[in-house]
Amino acid sequence: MMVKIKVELGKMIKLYMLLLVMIPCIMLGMRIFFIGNILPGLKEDFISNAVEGFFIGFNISLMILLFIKIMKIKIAIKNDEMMKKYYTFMNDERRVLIKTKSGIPLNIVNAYVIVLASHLFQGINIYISVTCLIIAVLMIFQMIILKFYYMKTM
Amino acid sequence: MKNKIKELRRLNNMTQADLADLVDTTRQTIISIENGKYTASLPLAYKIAKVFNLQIEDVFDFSEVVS
Repeated sequence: MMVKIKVELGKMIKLYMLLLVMIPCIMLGMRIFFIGNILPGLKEDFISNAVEGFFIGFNISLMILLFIKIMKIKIAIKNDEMMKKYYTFMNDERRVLIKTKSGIPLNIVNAYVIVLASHLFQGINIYISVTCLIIAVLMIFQMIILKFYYMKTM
Repeated sequence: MKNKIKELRRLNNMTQADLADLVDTTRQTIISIENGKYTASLPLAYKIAKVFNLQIEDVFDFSEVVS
């Protein structure tokens, strides 16, 4: 049982590591292929700077969250009791159901894609870019509100 | 769904955390099941019934679902 849990947690670490590497690659790739310059520079208007800042901040915070998650699993793996508790918590059926009902796994990916789209539209039309950003933020808020609602009612 | 988990737990001098550990779930899930807010899945209901050496229908009241 413990070996099975260890293998599964090891797989999770690998997946999170992959995502941790992919995020800066996506950031760099978008800048090189779609925007044309690697380093973000200060633009004339406030909105463009805000969109740029949001994109960088969003990606860095995602990377920090992934790093914390990896560290949590690595600490849990060292102790059998902690590992079992962590695994039980992660696979708790009520928690999984709440996450599914509030659309967390899918909506996070959708929100990230919309943030990427917002970054792409930055050079084309700033209003579309801002609209995409607002949609992504609202999607994240919706997920959080739904999660708290289901946590209280289930 | 109504159930007798609280009574059975007290009868066996068991805390919510103890039961949660025995059935590989969290204390929050046990609280929700006891309060009738959450309906346990079939495998979890089976595990809970097995802890008390009872049948699922002895722990959970299916009269509301069946009627």
